[in-house]
Amino acid sequence: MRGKQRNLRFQKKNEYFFDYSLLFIVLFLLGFGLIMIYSASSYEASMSSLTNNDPMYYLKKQAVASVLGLIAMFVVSRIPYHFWERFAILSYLVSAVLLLLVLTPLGYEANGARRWLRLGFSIQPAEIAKLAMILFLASMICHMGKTMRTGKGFWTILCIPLPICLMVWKITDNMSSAIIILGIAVLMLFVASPDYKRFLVLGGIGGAAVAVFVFALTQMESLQNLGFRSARILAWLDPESDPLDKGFQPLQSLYAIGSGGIFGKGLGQSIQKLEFLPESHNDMIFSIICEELGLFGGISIIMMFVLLIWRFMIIANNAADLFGALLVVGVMGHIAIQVILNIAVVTNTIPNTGISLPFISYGGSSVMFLMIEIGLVLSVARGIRLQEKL
Amino acid sequence: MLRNKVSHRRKILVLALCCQMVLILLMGRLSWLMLYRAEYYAVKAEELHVRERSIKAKRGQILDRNGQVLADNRTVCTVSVIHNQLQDKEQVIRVLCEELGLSREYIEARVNKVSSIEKIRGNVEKETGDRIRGYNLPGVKVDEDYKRYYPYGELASKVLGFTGADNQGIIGLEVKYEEYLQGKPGTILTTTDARGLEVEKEGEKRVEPESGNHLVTSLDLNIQQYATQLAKQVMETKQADRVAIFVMNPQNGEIYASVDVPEFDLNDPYALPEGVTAGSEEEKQELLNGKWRNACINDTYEPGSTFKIITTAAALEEGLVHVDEMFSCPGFIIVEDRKIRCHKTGGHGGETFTQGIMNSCNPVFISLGLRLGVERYYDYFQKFGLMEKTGIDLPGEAGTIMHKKENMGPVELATVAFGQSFQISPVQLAVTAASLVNGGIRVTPHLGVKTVDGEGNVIKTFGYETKKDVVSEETSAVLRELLEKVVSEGTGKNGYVEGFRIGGKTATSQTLPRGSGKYIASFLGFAPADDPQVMALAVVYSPKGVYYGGQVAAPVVRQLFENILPYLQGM
Repeated sequence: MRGKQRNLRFQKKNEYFFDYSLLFIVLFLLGFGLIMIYSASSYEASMSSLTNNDPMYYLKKQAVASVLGLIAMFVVSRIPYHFWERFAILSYLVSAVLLLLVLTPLGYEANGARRWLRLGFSIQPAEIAKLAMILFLASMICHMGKTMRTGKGFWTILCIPLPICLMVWKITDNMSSAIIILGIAVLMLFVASPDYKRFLVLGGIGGAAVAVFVFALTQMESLQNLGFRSARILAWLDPESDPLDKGFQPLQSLYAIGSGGIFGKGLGQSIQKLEFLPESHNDMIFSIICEELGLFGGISIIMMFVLLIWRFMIIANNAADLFGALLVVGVMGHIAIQVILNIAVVTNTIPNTGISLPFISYGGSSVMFLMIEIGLVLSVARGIRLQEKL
Repeated sequence: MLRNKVSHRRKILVLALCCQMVLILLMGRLSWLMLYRAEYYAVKAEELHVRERSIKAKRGQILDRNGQVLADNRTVCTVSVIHNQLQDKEQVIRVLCEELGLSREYIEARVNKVSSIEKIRGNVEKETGDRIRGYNLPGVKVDEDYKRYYPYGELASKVLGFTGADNQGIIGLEVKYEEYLQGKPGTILTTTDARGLEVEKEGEKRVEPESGNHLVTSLDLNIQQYATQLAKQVMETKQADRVAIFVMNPQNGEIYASVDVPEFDLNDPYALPEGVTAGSEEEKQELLNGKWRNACINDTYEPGSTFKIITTAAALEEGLVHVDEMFSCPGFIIVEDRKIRCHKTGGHGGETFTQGIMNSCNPVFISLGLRLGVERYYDYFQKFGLMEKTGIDLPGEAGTIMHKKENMGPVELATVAFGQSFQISPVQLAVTAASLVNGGIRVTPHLGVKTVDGEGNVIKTFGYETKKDVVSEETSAVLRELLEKVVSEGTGKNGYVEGFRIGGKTATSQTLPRGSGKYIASFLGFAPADDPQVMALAVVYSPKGVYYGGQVAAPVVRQLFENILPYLQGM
């Protein structure tokens, strides 16, 4: 194994493992993200007085968050991850309290949704909740020990995230984050539980329910009383049927992707970012990547995430104990779910919902917490004894 | 501390592989979108991003038969401002004020208006436009444009016609030959953002306009100019309402000149005649339509004695009269219960048919009409093409207004025989007379000869219908002789040009309602009388004082012929 040979040099000085490949992938994505945020947002930012007509407005804010995130990552990576275990229950409670705080005057609204908290700096409680859930579930599963093999253990773990998910969904009106939190929990449970059947059954039921719902929706005669989510689903099936409302963003995204071709129009040459595609520096940044860098650029980025998942798997499999492994699985689940859902939305493979692309999309809270999660993973990686494994 | 067991590791592997599988499936989806659907979405996106600004095509010129330009194009500029690209507004306002001579308030309001593009002024002289462009003011756009320009102003205004704001033909040849003249407009494609602001780095894509083809007409600038001068002269001296002169080649129908004074300035067609003010918009349009009408083509009149040519031709063709046949004119003739007077109250007394036509004696032609009878007379109208339009290549040709066959009694027949009680357009009369004297070939009067492209290559030569054997060659020859006598010795002697053989016929008709004291004096002449190469019809509406065709209209044609016959011989 290449990594092993390369790391042999470190053995003498330091017998612990530091995953440079993972760090490199993350730094690459972060740097690439900054370039794409500048490309996608500079025109819009220069045209709007809300951003002081400063083309670098979004870039600057994201750069600051990225630097803070990097610092946080290095700090966290130096702290043995078991240090955090004692805060597991506390973090769960804190995230619940923060979510409730959104209802108080501390919460504020942006882009038409009340999802942020102003605590001297602005933050999305849902991002904290994701990290808290990973920590709490990893700790819970380890405490439950053999109970995990029983149905009781299974259902307990499945129920733990539900209150938080409901709060994220109902209080902050953020169904996508709720789904991500639930997804993280299910994936961690999948690794912790020795069972396969239950997951297959759960997956089957879930899939069937979605199919029935979508089918029922298309058969419905009266479209008058549809909620906005149902309307989004119909727009997903045929975005051109509602090109100016619900189908607008998916369609504009497809225009961007379609005009990219194989090698794209070239960095900075996107037209769709000129206010045609809403959220072009945010949830829809992948469309702009495809438009500017083409299929080649799009596939390269997906490949980077495939590599990232592979690194997570290596670290999780070599983690010193189950707690470490579960932390990494949680982070892997978080990032994998977001990447998959984001690209699926952008390519109109699933109905439109607001999910950002990890490390690349604009968003300070998101990048800070992702970097903390990477710090955790690096900390787990440091716990791998090179003599023992790898 | 719990161990990371093998079962966990296997599950982690399964999980990672599943996630990677999904990502690879998404790559497939992306590839499908970007390879197979790319064209579809790219075209749609392009449609969304691109704004079209059309560039007017250069309209083809209208040329006379010798290549003189009668209708041309002038480059003009449109000055606009693009609000979002303006930098020094104060300077822009100052420069535009100075250069365009507009008020400061007017320009200020437009410069400060938030719009994607705001037009300040169109039809700006090219030099002014170039100067403004020279200032290099950001946000100020000077677009070049073409405007129709008529170098001779009024000349042949009612024939050439003019164009509207979009350079489309409104009347005359301009509208008739629109498809050849107009060319194909080009477009400037500019990429814009979602608000419609131009994206400068994308630049402009231009689809160059295709210029229209030139139209070569049969008009002759010299003849047209001279005829116009004569018409103006006679209108002034006789204080006439209007004077129309129509000059054509009787052999092939080519029109050399078509004058109808007062003409109007083609470079300012919407100006009302001096001293006239219109109350409502409708009233103004009415006045303008009146101003633009071409009396030769769009209006009818009672032809009077020139129509005797037609009656003679029909009677000769039927063998109902001989040139030496004796007639007697007591000054009137009785048809049924009506007594129809000759213009000479005392009567012409005994005369041959030749003398009858020289005298333009009404009773002679009434007799001819009665001999023909309604049925045969009407057949000849049809055969001569009188009942149809001439097919001239100008819009709005007026049709003949004739009694219905079943309503035509002997009295009507008698009046028609000497050219009264019905109406006909001057062009119809000229063309019918032409076909009777040219050996019996009915030609289509026309102006359009061919279209040529910018390099002078002929794109299309227009063909026109001819109808042979309208009358026999013998009848035609007799008719020519008779009409030559009218000029050499008869009522048309004022039309005589020394050294040339001229044929012709005078006419004096009343305008309706009768008894208004208004007359139309006309003369139809052709030369050379034995082989007509040119035919001219002069119609003077409401001359004051002497109103006889022989005295008022014949001299006009004489002067015209004096000038153009030597000229045409040289052609």
